Amino acid sequence: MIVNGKNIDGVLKKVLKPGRYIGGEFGQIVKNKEDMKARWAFCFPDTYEIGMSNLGMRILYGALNKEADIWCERCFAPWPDMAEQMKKHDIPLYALESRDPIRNFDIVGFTLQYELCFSNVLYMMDLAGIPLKASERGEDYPIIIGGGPATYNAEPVADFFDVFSIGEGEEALVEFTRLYMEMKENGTYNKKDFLFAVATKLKGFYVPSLYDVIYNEDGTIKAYQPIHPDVPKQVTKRIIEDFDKSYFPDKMVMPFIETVHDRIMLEVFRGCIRGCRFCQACMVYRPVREKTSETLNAQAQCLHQHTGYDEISLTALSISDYTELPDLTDLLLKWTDEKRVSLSLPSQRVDAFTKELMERVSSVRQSGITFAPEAGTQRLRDAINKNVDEEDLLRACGVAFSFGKDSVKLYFMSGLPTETDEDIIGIAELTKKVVDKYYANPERKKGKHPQVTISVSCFIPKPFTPFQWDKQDSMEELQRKQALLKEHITDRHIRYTWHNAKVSHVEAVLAKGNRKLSEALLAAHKAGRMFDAWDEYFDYDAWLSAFSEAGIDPKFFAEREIPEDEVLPWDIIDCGVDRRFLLRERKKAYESNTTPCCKDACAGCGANKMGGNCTWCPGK
Amino acid sequence: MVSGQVRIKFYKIGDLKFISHLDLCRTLRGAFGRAGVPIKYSEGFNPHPKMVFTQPLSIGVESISEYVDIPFTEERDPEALKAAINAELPSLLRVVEIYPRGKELHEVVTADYRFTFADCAKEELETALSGNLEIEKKSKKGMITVDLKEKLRSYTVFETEKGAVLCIRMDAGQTSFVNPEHLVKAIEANLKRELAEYTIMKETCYLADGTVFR
Repeated sequence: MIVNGKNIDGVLKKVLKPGRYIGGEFGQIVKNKEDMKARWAFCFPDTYEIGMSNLGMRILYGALNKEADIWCERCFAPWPDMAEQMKKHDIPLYALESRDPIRNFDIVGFTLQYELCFSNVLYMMDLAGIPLKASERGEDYPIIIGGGPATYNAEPVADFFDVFSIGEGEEALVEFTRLYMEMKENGTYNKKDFLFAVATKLKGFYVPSLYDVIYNEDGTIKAYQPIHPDVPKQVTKRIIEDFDKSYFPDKMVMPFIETVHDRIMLEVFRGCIRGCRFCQACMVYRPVREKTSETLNAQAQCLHQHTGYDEISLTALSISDYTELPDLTDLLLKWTDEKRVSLSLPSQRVDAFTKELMERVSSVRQSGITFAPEAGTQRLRDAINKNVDEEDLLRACGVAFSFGKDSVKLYFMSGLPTETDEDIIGIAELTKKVVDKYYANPERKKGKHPQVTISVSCFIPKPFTPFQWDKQDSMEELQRKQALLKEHITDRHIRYTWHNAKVSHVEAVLAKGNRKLSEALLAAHKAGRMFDAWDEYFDYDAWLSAFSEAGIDPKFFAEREIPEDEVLPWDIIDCGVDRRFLLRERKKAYESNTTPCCKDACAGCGANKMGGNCTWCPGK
Repeated sequence: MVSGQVRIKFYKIGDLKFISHLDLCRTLRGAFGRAGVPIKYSEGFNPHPKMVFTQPLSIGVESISEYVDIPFTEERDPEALKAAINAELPSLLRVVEIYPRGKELHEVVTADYRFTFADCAKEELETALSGNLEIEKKSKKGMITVDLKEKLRSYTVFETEKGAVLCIRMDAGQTSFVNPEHLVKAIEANLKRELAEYTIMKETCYLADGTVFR
């Protein structure tokens, strides 16, 4: 295979899974370079297997390539063995379709799905031979744009990007590229003028270099100051107003190698009606917009025809809240059984998990069922507004057991605001009741035993949630709670796994950080940080040294309760949901009061101001 | 029309030499499914399509002589089916012919390979091949020594614009098999240097009596 005029066959024979680095899959889009007015490299800062499983990337790949004069190619983070070979043989990071070095592209986009991928963004830019800091990149380098959920607070990586696309990108990225092409064509393009035009003419784009951040003496932020009166004081995210008619790719690139989600992903709706107070996705994807069951059925049929996949996963933040779920499963089941296609649902809410639903989606390959009660006591579940009770959980587990499932997985969180030891012990008690529920089933097979796995993650206060002002437990406290829970689990049918508190600590710092974090990221990059989301590469001590080298106290970001009147790094973004709503929700959390979901009553989150075909918003 | 036990001959060339056998199986299964190949499924709890392949290709080896046997549940026009499958495959993986199965796949004993070495002269290659061709190989019993010479049938070496070419017939069956990359390793050992730029193409398969397998 030739990259940049060099035969790299010898390299590909030396690395693990070379199929990740060659492109050429069925369904990849190849265009004639000479006819293109803009070339995009869409970069996913994790492995091919993870990136190719990402629905957002697939949608945007299609949305950009549907434009005749734009060619969007893919690029993933090479595994360290490949990176080592690339450095040794001077092979620059290339896009899979053309194998051209991405540093020669017009636009290089990174999708930021989670904070722990930040180090991989620098790792990829370095392999591409692109200077890391935006201020050090001249006209010859591509425009570097970021997007995705982690850009709701992009401040920690603000120094490395020219611009961020905030919110849903299907339409915004095409507008952005059109503006680029227009300015190139009429000769008015230079990077600075283009970025100014993006920030002032288009909606939903945040250009960090157009704002000065003024700090107080204690390191908190005093203000964000636009450097020109035309630059908006706050950037409002973009949404697709008519989601039912929004662009959806009818073809897919079919990976040669096995990926994490090797199936059809059908996006049923965006947003979430529930309002769990720790959940960022729930807030930032509002308002809730559904597709109709007819549209979804047609898209599923089309995708099945083009991919031949034998599994359709219905995806949404809370799939059982879909208003047309029975209609959709009816429509799908009319043809899926005959074609040996099974339906699967991601994690399900216990209050909506019924025998009827189980019958529709039951598939032989689905060995276990996953529920997320999140907290061990009713008081704490009310404080986080989970709105499920013990009875719901036991009933749902009972349904799963009666269908012959032996294994149930339960997700919990520790370190939530207002949490006490009683809540931690409650996790053990609740899990024991699930085990007892299994044995209470009179139809259970003799000699069979349940396996209840509990997975406990550490709470991370995320921007744009009611808990954004709250602090994370110290690492010692998180580890103490993990040990306390372990002590109280005595049943051998319960398997207990917990997340590494050190990883969660770094994640919290990156999630809540401000622009000063850029220096720490640079230091971490220089120390070789990469693939932080992978256990084998995460190195806590190296992160601590990077923070200290940059003069950053990680506790300032992760373990400090923020006064409600303090300017937040992410105040520069308007995610649609009103700050006053978040404050109301926080107050209710501390009183253990719940808020009804959108279906039952509007809680006035403010996202309806975004417009669009909202399913539940009043006065639309 | 073809029906019953059907053989599909295909090639896998260029960069697709980096796709492993398992990934190749999955890719073909997907394409066969989309093209409506009437594959018989196995019985049982988790039915899977019945497909039998020739000896897996090593990573890095191209081939214009690959076969997969499939029992059909219905008859099909081979030319129309070939076109339908090829419309569902990446360009470097293509069906060449679809026809009723003859001799069984495990009856393949040898195959012709063409090695092209861009950074090795004809004379060098000849000397290397006449030397010791023993290699160390991992086996279930630990490392063992295998003498490749016993498994090589005949060869010629000649010079082309693209470099020295070795056309060789060697064992490629179930009981005796030479991994072409191992032969390169033996050559490299005799040359006392690494060969960086070379290609390997599997060209033709043969039965025990020396007739061409199809």
